[in-house]
Amino acid sequence: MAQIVLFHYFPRNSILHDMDGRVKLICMILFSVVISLVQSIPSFIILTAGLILITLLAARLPFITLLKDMKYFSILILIILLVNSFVIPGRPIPGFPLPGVTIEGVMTGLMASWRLVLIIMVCAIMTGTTSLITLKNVVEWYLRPIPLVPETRIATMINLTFVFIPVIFDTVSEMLSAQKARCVEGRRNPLKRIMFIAFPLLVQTFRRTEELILAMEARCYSDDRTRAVFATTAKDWLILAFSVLFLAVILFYPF
Amino acid sequence: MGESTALNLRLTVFAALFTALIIIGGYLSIPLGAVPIALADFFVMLAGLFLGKKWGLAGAALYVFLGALGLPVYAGGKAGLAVLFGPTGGFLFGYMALAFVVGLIASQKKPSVLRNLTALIAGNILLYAFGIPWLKTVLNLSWEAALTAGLTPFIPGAVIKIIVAAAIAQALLPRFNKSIADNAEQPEDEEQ
Repeated sequence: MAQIVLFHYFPRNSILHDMDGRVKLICMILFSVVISLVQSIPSFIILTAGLILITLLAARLPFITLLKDMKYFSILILIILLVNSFVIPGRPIPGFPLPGVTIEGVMTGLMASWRLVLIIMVCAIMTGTTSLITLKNVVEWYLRPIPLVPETRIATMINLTFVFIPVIFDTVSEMLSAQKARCVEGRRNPLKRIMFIAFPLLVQTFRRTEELILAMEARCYSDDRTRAVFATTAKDWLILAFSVLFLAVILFYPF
Repeated sequence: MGESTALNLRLTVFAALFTALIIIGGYLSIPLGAVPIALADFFVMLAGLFLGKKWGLAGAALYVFLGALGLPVYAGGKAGLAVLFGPTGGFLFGYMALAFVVGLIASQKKPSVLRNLTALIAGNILLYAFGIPWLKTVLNLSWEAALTAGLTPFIPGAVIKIIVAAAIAQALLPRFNKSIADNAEQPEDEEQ
C-alpha cells in the first residue's frame, strides 16, 4: 500500500490545487454521477479524453506514474469484463473459440470496467489535488448546517482513521514477516489463520491506540477547535459552471 | 473517574481505529477453497462487539461515508456513490445494521459466549437480508441466482468469522473494557 501513489496528494501549483475544496467536491460528485449514468461509447471516449486533459493540464499530476498504478486494479477490471462476458445472455461472437461469450456480454463488461477506470481517475484527481486536511475541513463545513451531527467529532474521526491506516499496515507487514519466519503459512486451517492475523493485530493496535489516547488527553483535546476558513473566487464558480456544462452535454447530447 | 468527555474521547479514537481496520480488512483476504474470505465484515462484527451499538454503528457508518466521498476504502480499493448504489451496495448498508445489532444484543458488562454468538448470528442474518434483495433488484436476478451469487459461497467464511470473532471477544473484551472505563470498577474475569 505504501508504494501506491494513486490516491496520494501531490503538492503542486495548479488550477485545481488552488481551487476551493468545497466547489471541487461538488465537481467530483457531479463527475461520478455522470460517469455512472452514461451509456454510449462516444460519451465514454469524450469523458476519458476530458479527464486525461484535466489530469495533465488543470491538475498537473504525473499521469504516467498514475497509469502504472492502475495495475493494482487490473485484476478487478479483468474479473468484471470476464464475468459480464459469460453471464449476460445474447448472440455468440462468430468465429470466437470460447463458447458462452456473447457480444452483449463483452460490451456490458467493457462499459462496466471502463466506468470503473473513469471513477478511479476522478478519485485520483480529487485526492491528488486536495490534501487530507483540506478534505476533512470541507466535509466538516458541509456537515455544519445539519442538525444533530457532531461535525467536529466526525472530522476528528476521519483524521484519526487515516492516521491509523499506515500504523495498521506496518503492524500487519511486521506480523506477517514474523509469522513467515515461523512457517505459519503452512497452516491450512482457515480458522487458525484468521486467528493468527486478527488476534495479534488487535492486541498491537489496541496498545498503539491507548498511547494515542493518552497523548490526546495529555494535550487536553476537545471539540472546541478553530474552524477552517474557506474563500471562493470567481475562478471556482467558472470551473463549476464549465463542469456542469461539459457534463450536461455528455449526458443529454444524443451521440 | 469515568467522566463522560474522557470516555467519549476514548470511544471516538477506538471507533476510528475500527473504521481503519474495516478498510484494511477489505484488502486482507484469506483463501478458503475457491472463495477468498475478506475480513471487512469480520472487523464490522468486532466493532459491534467491542464498541457497543452506538460507537460500533459510528465506526461502520464512517466507513460507508468515506467511501461515498470518493476515497478508495471499499474492498479492492473501490469508492464512490456508484459502488454504494451498485449491486453490492446493500452489503455496505448492511454493515451498519450488522454493527448496530451486534452491539445491541451483545452490549453488556460481562461477556458471555452464548450471547455474543447470538448477536453475531442475528447481525449476519440482517447483513444478508440487506445485501441479497438489493443484489437481486439491482441486477434483475432471480432469487435462486441472487442466493447463489450472494450467499452460498460466503456461508463457510461467515461461520468461521463468527467463531473467531466470538473467541477474540472472549479473550480481549475484559481487557478492552477495563482500558475503556479506565477505572477499577470492572472486575477481572479472564479465567472464563
